[in-house]
Amino acid sequence: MRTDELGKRYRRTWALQPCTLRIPAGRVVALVGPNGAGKTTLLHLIVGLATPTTGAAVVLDGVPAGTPLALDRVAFVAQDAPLYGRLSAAETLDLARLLNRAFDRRRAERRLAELGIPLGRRVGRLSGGQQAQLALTLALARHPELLILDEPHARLDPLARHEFMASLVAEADRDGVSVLLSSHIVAELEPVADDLILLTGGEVRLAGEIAVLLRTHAMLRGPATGVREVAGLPGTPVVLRGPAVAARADGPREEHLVARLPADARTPDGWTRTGVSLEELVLAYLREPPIHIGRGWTG
Amino acid sequence: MTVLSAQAPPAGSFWRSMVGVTWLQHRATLVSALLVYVGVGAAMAVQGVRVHRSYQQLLAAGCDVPRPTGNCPRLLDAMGAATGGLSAADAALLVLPVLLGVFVGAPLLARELESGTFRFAWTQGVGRRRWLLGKLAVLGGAAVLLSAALGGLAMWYARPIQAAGLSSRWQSGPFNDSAVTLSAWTLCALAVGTLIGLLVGRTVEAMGLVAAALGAVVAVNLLWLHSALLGVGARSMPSTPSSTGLGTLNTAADRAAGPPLAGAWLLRGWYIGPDGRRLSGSEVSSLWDDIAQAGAGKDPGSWLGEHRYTYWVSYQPADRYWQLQLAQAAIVLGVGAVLVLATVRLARRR
Repeated sequence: MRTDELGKRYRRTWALQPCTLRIPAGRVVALVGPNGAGKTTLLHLIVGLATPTTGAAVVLDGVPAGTPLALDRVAFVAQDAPLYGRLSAAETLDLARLLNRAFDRRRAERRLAELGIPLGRRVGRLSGGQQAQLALTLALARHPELLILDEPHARLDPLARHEFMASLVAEADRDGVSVLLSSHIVAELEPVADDLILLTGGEVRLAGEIAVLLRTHAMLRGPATGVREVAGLPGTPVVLRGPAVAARADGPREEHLVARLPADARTPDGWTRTGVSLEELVLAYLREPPIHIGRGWTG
Repeated sequence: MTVLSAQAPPAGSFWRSMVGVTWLQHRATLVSALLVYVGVGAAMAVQGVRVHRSYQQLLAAGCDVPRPTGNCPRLLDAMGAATGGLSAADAALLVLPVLLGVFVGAPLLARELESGTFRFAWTQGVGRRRWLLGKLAVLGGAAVLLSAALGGLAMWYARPIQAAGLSSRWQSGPFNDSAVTLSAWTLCALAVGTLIGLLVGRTVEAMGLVAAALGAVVAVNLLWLHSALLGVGARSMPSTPSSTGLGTLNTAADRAAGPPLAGAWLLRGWYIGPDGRRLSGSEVSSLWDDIAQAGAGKDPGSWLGEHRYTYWVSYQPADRYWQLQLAQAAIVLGVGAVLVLATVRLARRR
């Protein structure tokens, strides 16, 4: 999947600043950012529910996003999994079968049976979690090459979220499906996602392979001088983000900074270096007013 | 840049699929519509059988419609009473498309937009444009079947009443609800409803707006269009004035008139004086006073001839009826087609 200067403006405000992204096939990509960051806009542009103001998106080796050819191979589960409340689960399967060239009804029925979702029940009477699972089932039964999910676990409780993610990744793995999913809950994405796109204020703040991002960022702890610049890093390009933690309640005041710091870079004098978790990394990038480090890939 | 779908499924399976989709999503509405149409149709059929029977008795009694004698006035009165039912049927037939526009057209997209389900429907493999056109075609096809059946029934119902000279197929009611024009108007109403539903995006508001818009169209356009069309390419010829005026001529006496006027629709009548000038309204009044004084009211034709006055009428000949029917249908369908195109374009950009 690729976007070239893809942007969307509503009147004066950019819901999504023009961004250029490259996402290799076969990955699970997490699109992260606070509410209103432009996640849904980006996903809607990719599935053709919105038309771009600038640029273009391309999926699956050069198919323009949103065309029937793309829709045939891309499955999308929209936020809140909108389905027709008056149809039964079985009728919803019928509908999806009629609206798609390929639809594996038997697999869908089996999955619903495993999840304990009664086929005869009306969708409007299923719980939020069951509706989300039904929507995912419909998407998987299409055997898509790219599966896009917008806040798939917004309506699930924590345990159900965990199970949902596990089953999503297991199914996607089995078929070799590329997955792009948005969320504002970072912790649950860390174990399953390969790549990260961080959006805030309609702008891509960070994008890259998660393993690489974690390797090239570090948590620095040092004296709380109030100085955001860390002196004495000869020859090392460092971008500072923080404070991730401003102070500790019990000990002496110290500052925690998340720095973009390659693994082989020397730790600055007076600071100690530890690894950073994905959540800390994301929070640091979200908190600090943007220090522009170039758009798109930063890895 | 757009790429056409390379693996569009075969057309037959596409239409079968869209029939299935439409049925799944709209069966409650479709069944309700069918019940309403069947109900109206049944009422018309019962009335129609009665009217046809009266007309058979009229024929069997050998009644001369312009000069009824014996039992004939009573039989004609029975026929006349049935014209009330025909007017009611005409009105109902013009309102039914409004109902389809409001209850089928308006929610078609408004409900999807309101409930968010468009995000499901428009991201399926079939694609947004084919989803929309497929649904419109299936619903439109069902609407055409229903309205053509009722329109045909209305034509059958009206035939004896028209044959007895109590009504004319050229009148705006029957003209607008023949199988041809009613089907076109129904499709147009469906298109109006769908477009407004897309623009408004909320079901209830859209239904209200569609009702208002289509009500206005019925009240103004169909009636205006009818009279405008009937003036197009009208012919004129010298004739004999009737003391009862043009309206009556159009129903009762047109069969009695000469061959060019049989089954024709008379539009206007005017007098040309000896000097070749058209007479004004006051001149016509004084002319009629002269005719009355001369005692020639029974046969004004020869009196007018002697005094070198001529009476002219403009008319649409009977054989232009279906041309004008098709013209009206084409205009209404054209408007509907433009609306459907606009809907597809706007839905794509949404």
